[in-house]
Amino acid sequence: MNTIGIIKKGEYYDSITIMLIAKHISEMEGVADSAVVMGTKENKSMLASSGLMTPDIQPAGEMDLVVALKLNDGINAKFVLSKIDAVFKATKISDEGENFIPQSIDGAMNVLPDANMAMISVAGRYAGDVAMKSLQRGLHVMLFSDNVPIEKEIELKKFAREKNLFVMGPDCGTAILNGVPLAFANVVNRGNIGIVAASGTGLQEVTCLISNAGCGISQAIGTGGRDVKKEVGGIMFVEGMKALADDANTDVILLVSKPPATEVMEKIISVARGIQKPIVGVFLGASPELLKGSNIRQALTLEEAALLSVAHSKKENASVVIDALKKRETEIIKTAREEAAKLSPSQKYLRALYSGGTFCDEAQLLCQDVLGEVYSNIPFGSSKKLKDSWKSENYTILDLGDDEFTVGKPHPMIDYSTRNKRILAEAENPETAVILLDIVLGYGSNMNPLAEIIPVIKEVKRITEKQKRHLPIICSVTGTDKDPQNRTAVVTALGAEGVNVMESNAAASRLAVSIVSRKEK
Amino acid sequence: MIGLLSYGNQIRCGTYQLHSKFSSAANFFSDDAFAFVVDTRVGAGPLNIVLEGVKLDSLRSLEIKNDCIYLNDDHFSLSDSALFNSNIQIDRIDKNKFQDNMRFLESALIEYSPPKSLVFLIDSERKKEFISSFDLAMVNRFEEGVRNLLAGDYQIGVEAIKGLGYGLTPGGDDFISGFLIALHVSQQILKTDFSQIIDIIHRAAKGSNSFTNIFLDCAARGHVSEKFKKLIFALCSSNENTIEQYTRELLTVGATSGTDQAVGFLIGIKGFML
Repeated sequence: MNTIGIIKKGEYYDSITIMLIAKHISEMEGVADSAVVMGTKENKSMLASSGLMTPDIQPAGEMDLVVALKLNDGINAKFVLSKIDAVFKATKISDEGENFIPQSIDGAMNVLPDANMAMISVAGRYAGDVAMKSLQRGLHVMLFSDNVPIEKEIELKKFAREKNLFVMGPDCGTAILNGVPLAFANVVNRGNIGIVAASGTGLQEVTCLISNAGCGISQAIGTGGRDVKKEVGGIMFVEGMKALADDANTDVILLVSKPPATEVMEKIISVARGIQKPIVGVFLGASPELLKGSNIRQALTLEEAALLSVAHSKKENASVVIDALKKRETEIIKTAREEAAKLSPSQKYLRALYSGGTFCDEAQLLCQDVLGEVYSNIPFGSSKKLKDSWKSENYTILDLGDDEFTVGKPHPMIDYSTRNKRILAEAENPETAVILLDIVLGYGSNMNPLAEIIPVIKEVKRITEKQKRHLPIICSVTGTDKDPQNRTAVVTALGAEGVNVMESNAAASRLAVSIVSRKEK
Repeated sequence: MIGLLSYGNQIRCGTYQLHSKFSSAANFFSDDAFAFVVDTRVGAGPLNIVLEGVKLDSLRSLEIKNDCIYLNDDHFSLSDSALFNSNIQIDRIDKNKFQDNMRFLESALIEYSPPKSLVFLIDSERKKEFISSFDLAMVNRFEEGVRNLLAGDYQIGVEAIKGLGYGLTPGGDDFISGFLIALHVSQQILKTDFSQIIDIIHRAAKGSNSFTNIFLDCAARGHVSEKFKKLIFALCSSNENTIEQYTRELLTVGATSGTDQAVGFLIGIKGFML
C-alpha cells in the first residue's frame, strides 16, 4: 500500500462540497482508504492514528484542506492525483459561477436575452412584484409561488391580458409548453390535444392518460386554482381557451377544473361557443347537467375526460370510450368480489391516503354516492370534515399534500415519510379494509418512489400476516414510460408486491369503493 | 433590487476584507472580527447580514458603520426593525413539556439527519456509515470526548473533540457550540450559574482557526442563529409539529453543521437537565 497526501492551501469549500468530494474520492478505483478534512491539529492526529499521515501533509494549517489517500499496490499515484485534481476543478467551476445563477429577473435577462417566459418561485410576499417586473419586460409568467394576495393576482392577470401575455398561477405547479414539462409535470407525447387546467394534479393525470393512450399534447396551460373563482373571473382560463383555439397545432381542447364560479362558467361556455374545435370539459363535482346546451362535452372523471379527448383526437366515436369504461367496470366488480371475500369481519373502512389534492377530491366524489358518509381533511361534495386529520374515522380520504401535513416538509410527492407512517398506522387498524394510494411520477416528484414505498408495503404485509388479515392496497400511478422514474418499472414492482395497480385514479377509486361496498353486503 | 432583510446584533463596525465565498454566503473579516453576507437560505444570525436579490459572487468589499452598511457600490441603512437579536432569553417554559419535547427532538434528529453526522452519538446504528480508518478513529475519539464531557472532565472532553471532523467548521466545533448553548439554556431554566463551566469549555475549545473561534465566541456568549433560536423556543413551549419543522430547518445548515450543533445541544441538555 502506498500512502500519499496533498494540501489544498487556503482553499475553502463548504462542508457539503467537502463531503461530496470525499465520497467521490473514496469510490475511485485503487483507493483503499481516504480522508478529506481541514488540516486542524486534531484531524492531523486522527490521520496519524489511522495510518493516513504523510510528511507532505504534516505542514497543513487549520485553514488548509487536506486530502490523504492509501492506494492499493500497483496503482499509479500520479494518475489518481490527476483525477482528484479534476474533481476539485469541476467543483470550483460549479461553485464559482461559471454556471452563473442569476439572482434577479434583470440578471437572468442578461444571460438569456431571448427568453420569453419567467418561472417564479420565491416567497409569496415578493412573488407578485417579481411577476409584474417580468410582465413589464414582456415575459409570460409561470408563478409557482403561493400566498400571493388575490388583489395582486387580479392586477397581474389584467395587466398580462392587456399585453397579450400569460400569467399561469399563483400556485401553478404544472404546465407543459412546447413539449417542455415545467415544475411538477411529466414527459408526454406531443400531439394535437391542448389543455387548460386550474388543477395541477388533474393536469398531470389527463396528460399522462392521453400520452399512455398513444395521443399527445400540444400545450398544457395551468392557471392556478384561484383563477376560476368569482374574484379573478377566469381571466387566464378564458385566455388559455382562446390561445388554443388559435393554435394551429391544437385540434382538440380539454378543460380541467373544479366547478368554476357561476359567472366564470357562463364566460367559459360563451367563449367555447365561438370555438370550432371539439371541446371536452371535466369540472370535478359539477352537476352532470352543468354543460347542457353548450358545445362542451362533459366528462365526470379525469380519466373519462382524457379518453374522450383521445377519441376526438383519433376521430373516433365517443361510444368507444363508454364501451371501454363499461368493460373495465365489469373487471373491477370481479376483482372487488374476490378481494372482499378475503376480508375478515372487522375490516370495514376505506382509508385513502393521497399526495395529489385533485385525486383526493375525485375519490371523494366517486365514494360518496356508494358509501355515503365519507370524511376528509379537505371535504369535497358531501364529505364531512375530519375532527382530527391525524386520526381516520369511518371512510377517510386524506390529502397529505394539504398545508397541515406539509408545514416545514417537502410535498408528499417528494417526501413520502408522512404518508408512509400513516400507511403503517392504517395497516395496524383492524377496521381498515382497503388502502388506496396515488403515486405521481415525473419532474418535481421523488425520483426513486420504489425505494420509498416498497419497504412500507412489505411492512404492511408483515403486519397483516401476523394478524392473519388480508389487506388490499390499491394504487394509481400517474406518469409515463418517458418519465425519469419509468411508469412501467414502477407498476411492475408494485404489482410484484401484490398491489392492485389501476390505470387511473378513477379506476383505483372505483375498485376500492367496490371492495368496501361488497364487504358491507 | 437588492434589499437588506436583517443584520445580527453581534456585528462590529469596521472595514472588512473578503475571506471566502460559497453559493449562499460571502465571508468577510477584519482584524479580529467576522461578518457574513448571506442569502435567505442561510437566514439571520449573530454576525449575518441577510440580503435578498444579491449576487454573492460579485461581492468584494464590506464596510460597516454605526448606521449604514456599504457593500461594493451599494449601501444599506441600518434600521432597528431589521436588527436580529441573537440572544436567548427564555421567559416562559413548561418544564414537563420541555422534557417531552427534548425526547421528540432526539427522535426527529435520528429520523431526519444526514447519515454521516454526529447523530451516531445518540444512535449507535449510525456508526455503520463510518467506514474509512479516519472515520473509525474519529468515531472513537468523539465517543471518548463526550464521555469525558458528561463526566465533568470538560477540558479533556473538549480537547478530544475540538477541531475534529469535516468542513470549514469541523463537526467537533459545531458540537461544542451546541453544547455551550445547552449550558446557557440550562442555566436559565434551572436558575443555576454555569458560567464557570462555559468559560472552561470556551477556553479549551478555542484554537488557531479564527473562523471557528468566532462561532465558539458567539455560542459562549449565548448568541445563536435564527434557525437555532426558533428551535429552542419551540422546545420550551410548542408542539411536536413545530419542533419537527424547526428541527428540519436547522438540519439544512451545511452538510452536517446544523445537525452536529443540535446533537451537542441535545447531549448538553440531557447531561445537565434530564
